[in-house]
Amino acid sequence: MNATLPMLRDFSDHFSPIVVKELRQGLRTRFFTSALILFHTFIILLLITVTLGAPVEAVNGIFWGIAGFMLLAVMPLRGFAALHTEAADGTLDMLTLTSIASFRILYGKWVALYSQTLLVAGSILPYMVARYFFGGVEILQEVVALVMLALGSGVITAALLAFSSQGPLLLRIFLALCVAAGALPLGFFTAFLVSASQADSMVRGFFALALWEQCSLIGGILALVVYAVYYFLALGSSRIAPPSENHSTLKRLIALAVHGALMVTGLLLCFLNTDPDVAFWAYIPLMVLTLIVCMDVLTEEMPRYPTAVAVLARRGRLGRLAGRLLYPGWASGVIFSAVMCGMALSIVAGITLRHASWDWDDGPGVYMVCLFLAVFVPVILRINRTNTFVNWWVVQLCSAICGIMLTMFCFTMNARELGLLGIFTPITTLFGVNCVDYSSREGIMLLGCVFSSMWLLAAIVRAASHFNTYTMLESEALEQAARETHRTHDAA
Amino acid sequence: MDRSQPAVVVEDLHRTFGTLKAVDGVSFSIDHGRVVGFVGANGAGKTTTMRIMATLDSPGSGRVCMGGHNVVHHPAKVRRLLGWMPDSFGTYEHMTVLEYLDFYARALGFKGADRLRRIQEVMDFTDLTPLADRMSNKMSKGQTQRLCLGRALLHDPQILILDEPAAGLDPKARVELKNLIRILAQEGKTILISSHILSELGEMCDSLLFIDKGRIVHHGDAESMVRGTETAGETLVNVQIAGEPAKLIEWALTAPLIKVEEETKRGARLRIQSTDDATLAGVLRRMIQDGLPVLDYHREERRLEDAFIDMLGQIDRNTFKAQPPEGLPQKNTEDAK
Repeated sequence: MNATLPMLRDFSDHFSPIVVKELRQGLRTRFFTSALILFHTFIILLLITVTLGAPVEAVNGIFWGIAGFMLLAVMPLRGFAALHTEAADGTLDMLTLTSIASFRILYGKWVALYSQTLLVAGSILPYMVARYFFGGVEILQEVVALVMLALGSGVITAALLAFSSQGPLLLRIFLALCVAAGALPLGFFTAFLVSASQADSMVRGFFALALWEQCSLIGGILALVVYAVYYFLALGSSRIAPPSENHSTLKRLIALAVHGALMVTGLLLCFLNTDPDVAFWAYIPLMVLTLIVCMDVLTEEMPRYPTAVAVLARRGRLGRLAGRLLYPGWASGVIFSAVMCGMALSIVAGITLRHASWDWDDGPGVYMVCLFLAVFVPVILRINRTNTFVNWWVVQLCSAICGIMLTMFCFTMNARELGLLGIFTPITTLFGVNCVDYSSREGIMLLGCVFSSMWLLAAIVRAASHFNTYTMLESEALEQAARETHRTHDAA
Repeated sequence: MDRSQPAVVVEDLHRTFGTLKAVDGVSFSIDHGRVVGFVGANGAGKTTTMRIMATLDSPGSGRVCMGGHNVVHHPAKVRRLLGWMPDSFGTYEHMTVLEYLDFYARALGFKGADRLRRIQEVMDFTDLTPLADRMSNKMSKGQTQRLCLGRALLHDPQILILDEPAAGLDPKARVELKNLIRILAQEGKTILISSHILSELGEMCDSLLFIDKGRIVHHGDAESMVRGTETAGETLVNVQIAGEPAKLIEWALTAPLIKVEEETKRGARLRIQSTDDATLAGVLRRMIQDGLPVLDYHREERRLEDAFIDMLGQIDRNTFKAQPPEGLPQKNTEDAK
């Protein structure tokens, strides 16, 4: 014992306990060791084939295929059951009883998993240098590709960790598939970077930018990655935290700040540039993030304890008004989501105003309105809240997928008239607009907009009918505060 | 911790899961330094109540205060006062006993030498020092329970909630655990302990809380429990006979003043509606006269288990129209309960 104890007196004292624990466990698992050995064996064999005369392009493709699979799939997948296993083993309860907050639990797990991913990513570098000496490799593009993969891996790990708080295996698989679908563009972009000849000009184009532009771009990408990781971790932590705690207000405030910054950036890009597509650099990440945030806040449980609303309730009328936007629960989530969607769509409105030639209903604008509406579906369908078999994440994702599938069907089968059916459902209201001939578009668009507003209005009305829950909790919180003040006075 | 108030106060606690009322108006309080046993059948609401007390679940309604702090309003303060040992818990893979305790000590905010000293103390107390380098998921049930107790004690909590700590332990491990709990009680800790082994609870606890169908049905010491459920003017007699005990049961069913309490391996426990020595001797005489080969006939003290079963029987009789269990004649239905 005495011989063992000093071993603990090391630099790990400076790290979070969860990080230390997860690293200790993670680095000892057979999965990590086997995956690492297999990965390096493959890469070494691959390099040997180059020396034996295999075509460099083919080897490059396989090399990045393996590296991408390792960084975007194998390493993040270790978070797939992380919280579920803790909950099933009963260890999550014991963690909850320590002084570690639920966000720190998620964050610690993410840091441990991601640091192992970075370890793997770092171990790729020597092979990249070796391949550079064999020839046929643009080292700069490869470094950019590796960085993109590493950043993407961080976000995917956070997403899988967040969704690992969900109980049923099938649901987690479904959510993981959705994350995989979301990660596909990153995979394609990496493939483009390391193989396409245009990628060279793209990278050179970046270096042709002014220094502040380069810094803004890199800083913007990093900030978005950090925010996405934060949001997923906050999402997961709110799902494992005791219901008396409020994990939503801070999350929403940060979301408001980031989305606001993105909106302003988008509008600036829109009004300062002659090319309308430049604004999409801000609009596309904003719409993706808006979807995630809306899906989250619209699936939150309504609070049951006054502690969840106490902080804002004690700040007077203004605080209570802000609470209707920031309190936990899907009812305030409807108002918050409407604001979020409004912020995203304001860029579309900005582009339409600034560039008269740009037709907003012929592009991503229409699709996004439909996807934004898709996330409100659970609110409209939320008839029986005691039905534990309904998972609103699945409802949201399925409705979004249905909308996309319907549009694809209409386009590919040339069955535009079917797209009109979309105006009767909240998920596809405006798909109908996009499917009809240009000449008859205006009337359909008007109808679509009316229907869209109706669905949104229905969600808001339903949410408003639940605001009395907040009012009740606010009264309780204020009473509790008054009692505590009396007790303090009495003690004094 | 404010010692002017009870260590634990539970008032009109309710908790439902869907349509199931797991806890239905539970109220009790526990003074500082008391050891209280929490008894009830599976599904009676013990674990739900304990989880709410430990801030791991939230009350539907009612108030729970631990050390003067409301579990809903001040969960962090409650957690600092509380040591929780669940009925079943997983250990971590690829982690030694020492690393396991080290992790929780870090998580509880212990730093540097202070942390090492506390781990050492806990390992010494729970006799885990020889197992320091053993993988925490490769230990026996008894060793795992000691590890769990050690983890619960790391921050020296004043209130301990132990949910079925002796479940699945062999007799030796059970005795070891009992001794540890006894020492903790002597240190003045408030302990709420649930168990199915009522005789052990009777020995260890200052008082017992009986819960049934989400309601507290008794709160008091073991003796008052036994006395309270005792039917006045009755005596329990343990009888052993040579041969089949069925003969004794048949005889008892027809005999006046006698009811069968429980069939045993070599006879039965009989409830005789008299405390008079002469009547008891008369019963023995009649047995021998009726040809029963009596080997042993002695008066028996009522056990806590009997009292518990009687109490549940009384509650059921008050609540429902009693139905005779299968295989028992109508006459003895109430006694069988």
